[in-house]
Amino acid sequence: MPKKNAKDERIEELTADLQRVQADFVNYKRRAEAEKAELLDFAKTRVVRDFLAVRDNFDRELANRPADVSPEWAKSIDSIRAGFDAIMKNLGVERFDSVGQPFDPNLHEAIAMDEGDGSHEVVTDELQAGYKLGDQVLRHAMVKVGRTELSNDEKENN
Amino acid sequence: MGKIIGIDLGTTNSAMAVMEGGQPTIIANAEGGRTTPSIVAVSKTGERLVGQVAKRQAVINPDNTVFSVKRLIGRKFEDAEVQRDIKLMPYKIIKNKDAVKVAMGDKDYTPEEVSAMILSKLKADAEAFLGQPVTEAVITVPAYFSDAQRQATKDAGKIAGLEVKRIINEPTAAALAYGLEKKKDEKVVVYDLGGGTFDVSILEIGMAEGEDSVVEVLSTNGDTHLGGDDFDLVVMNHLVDEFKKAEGMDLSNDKAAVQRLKEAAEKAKIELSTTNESEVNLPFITADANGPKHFQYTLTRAKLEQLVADLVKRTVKPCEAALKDAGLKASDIDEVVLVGGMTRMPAVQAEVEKIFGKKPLQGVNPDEVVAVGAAVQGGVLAGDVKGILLLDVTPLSLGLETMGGVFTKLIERNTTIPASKSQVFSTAADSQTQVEINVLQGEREFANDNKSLGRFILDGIAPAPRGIPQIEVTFNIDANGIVNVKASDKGTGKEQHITIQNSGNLNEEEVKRMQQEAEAHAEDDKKRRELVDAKNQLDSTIYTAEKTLKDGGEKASDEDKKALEDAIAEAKTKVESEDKDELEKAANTLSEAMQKVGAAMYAANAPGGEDAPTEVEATEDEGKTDEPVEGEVVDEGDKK
Repeated sequence: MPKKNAKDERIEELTADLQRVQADFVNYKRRAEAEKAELLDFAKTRVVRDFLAVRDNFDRELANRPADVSPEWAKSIDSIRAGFDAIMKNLGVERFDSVGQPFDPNLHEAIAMDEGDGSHEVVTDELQAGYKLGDQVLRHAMVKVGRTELSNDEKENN
Repeated sequence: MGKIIGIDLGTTNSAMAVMEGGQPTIIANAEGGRTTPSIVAVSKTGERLVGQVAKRQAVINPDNTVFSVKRLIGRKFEDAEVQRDIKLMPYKIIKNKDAVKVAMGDKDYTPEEVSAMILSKLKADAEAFLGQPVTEAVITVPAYFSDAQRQATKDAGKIAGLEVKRIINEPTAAALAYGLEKKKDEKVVVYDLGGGTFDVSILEIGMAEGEDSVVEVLSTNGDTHLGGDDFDLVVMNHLVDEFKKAEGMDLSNDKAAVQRLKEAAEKAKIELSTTNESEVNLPFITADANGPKHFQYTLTRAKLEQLVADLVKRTVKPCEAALKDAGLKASDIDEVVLVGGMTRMPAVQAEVEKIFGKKPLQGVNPDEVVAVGAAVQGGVLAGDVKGILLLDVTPLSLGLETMGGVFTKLIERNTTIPASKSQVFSTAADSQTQVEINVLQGEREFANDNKSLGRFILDGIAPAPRGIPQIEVTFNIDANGIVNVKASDKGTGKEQHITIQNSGNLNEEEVKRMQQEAEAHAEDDKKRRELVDAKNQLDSTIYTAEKTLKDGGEKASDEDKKALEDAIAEAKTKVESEDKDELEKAANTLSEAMQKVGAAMYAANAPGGEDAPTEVEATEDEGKTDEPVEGEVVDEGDKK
């Protein structure tokens, strides 16, 4: 074998470059495929998330509903809210309960801490409900957290 | 061979990018975010949390949540900066010999260890994103970082399992992201207004010895406690005031209301970078004895700019000081680069332009520009970025002339080269035996308005009715911009080609002029194009109608035949019309008359019309029969 000349070196270099680009392309394609599958979910997630602001206001309306409001009127609002919820359910959006649950930063966004004794952190108040789409958290619940001692049940589990 | 990722390890947020196929790509984290909060926490259960998840629990776990650790890394306990942070930070900062440690959970950690936790998460997320192990990185630091701070950052990388191939300055990275290292002897200002800090740096791009050009930091200045968070706070306080004015209630002690206001303030601020008004709409923000209260308020850009004017002004002095330290005047500056989300605000951009008398560079996302630059540096070190791999694009579209003088583009402008594209065309007239290919470059709708690069004739086409011969035209442009155009007759196999060496010979101004012309004439060209399309459509319908009459006339009733003959005669009088609607109407009328005869043909016969469906589909660009169109190629439809 004659020793490597400049041409051979150049060929080696260019082959390496080509392999690199090829590898990049293959990887990119694989990811693009995966992303394409996710894109539909992604688009849905974004749209639904924007509409959650409207759903929140239904919760606030219910919480602030005057006692003297006419029952028929209240019923119509309730049915509008139910219609909204039916659509969400069809889209696979699920609301999860937080109050009384142990605080979990994967589900909850804490905005305040109630003073109290105990080693156990529990959600005491939900200021904005949390929603999931499948396994994915669509929006974290905005919560207040308090401390309690472990209940007997939980002590057994731990 | 592994990738070297670029990491912008920020005070409030971090970002990362990588070179792929010679182009930088931002790496999204596992949660899908393009940036990751630089926050680390240890939960009550001893679990380590990094990023967004740590941020969500910060309020209830302030003692064990560490943020802004970059302010501590590589510093001595006695440093004024550290002493200040001890008072400001909710977590505990402890003396560790000369240096510092922070407390989280039951343990104390060095700032390097905390930074390493952030880097570990970024590394893991990058590996998931890329589908391969990541072991090497380029990490950026502020230009004013001391050797100790740089070394500590490098150590953080090592703890996270990353070999730090290089530590580079953030402003240098920003300049790299814009490819400014190629501009020799330029002075560049990098204005970085991030979430919590403001930095301004003046760089000099030096002459290159060999491959690397030298980027020297001439001076830096800034304000370590000025950033987007301050802007949000000002806006939020304004909203609180407005509500107080309207309802007489103070929301500042209502945590839920404050949280909603904070989000609304940030949203309004961002919106007002592109609009002049933003609606803040927060129903049921609070309640009193009279029932619920709603907050509805319109914030204008003018009001926002008035609110933040003082904050924007606070960046002026550091800029002037940096210029002075560099021994330069504003007029010496060649380029201005913006970094940080806050620089999207038009008022900030205007202020920067006022200070330096130069429009800042645009194009790279200011939140990502440092990470992108770090990735570019990583690419250079890995050998990913080289001259031959930097792909060029065609500045102008390439195509050919078709029926009616129309310019049909084959390769659109901004296509990355090398590239090639083929399309099948056909003849414009019956028994046409040759076509002329006129190779054109430009953006206008009509051949005459574009630049002809060359032309050639393909002859020897077997005589056939128009639209039948299939002539495949292939454009091929190589990495050097050399264009090769080949036309071949699929029937006879005859082919011709032309090679154009100087397609890229247009200088930058010429390209710009042609693009601007195209924009200026876009409306007129479109109208003219529609007219020509309508004419071609009518012409082609006449051709088909005449053929229908000839082929199937005897099967139709005399009445229908007469009607079609009249319709053809009528249509022929309209062919030269300059009224698009009239042309279209004539074509429609003729089609209807033709359908009657066509239906009669089918009723009398089993379906045997040679290529009726194709023809209908292909009528759009088919040619004329009544004038010599020799030498024009007719688009037969997209048969590529």
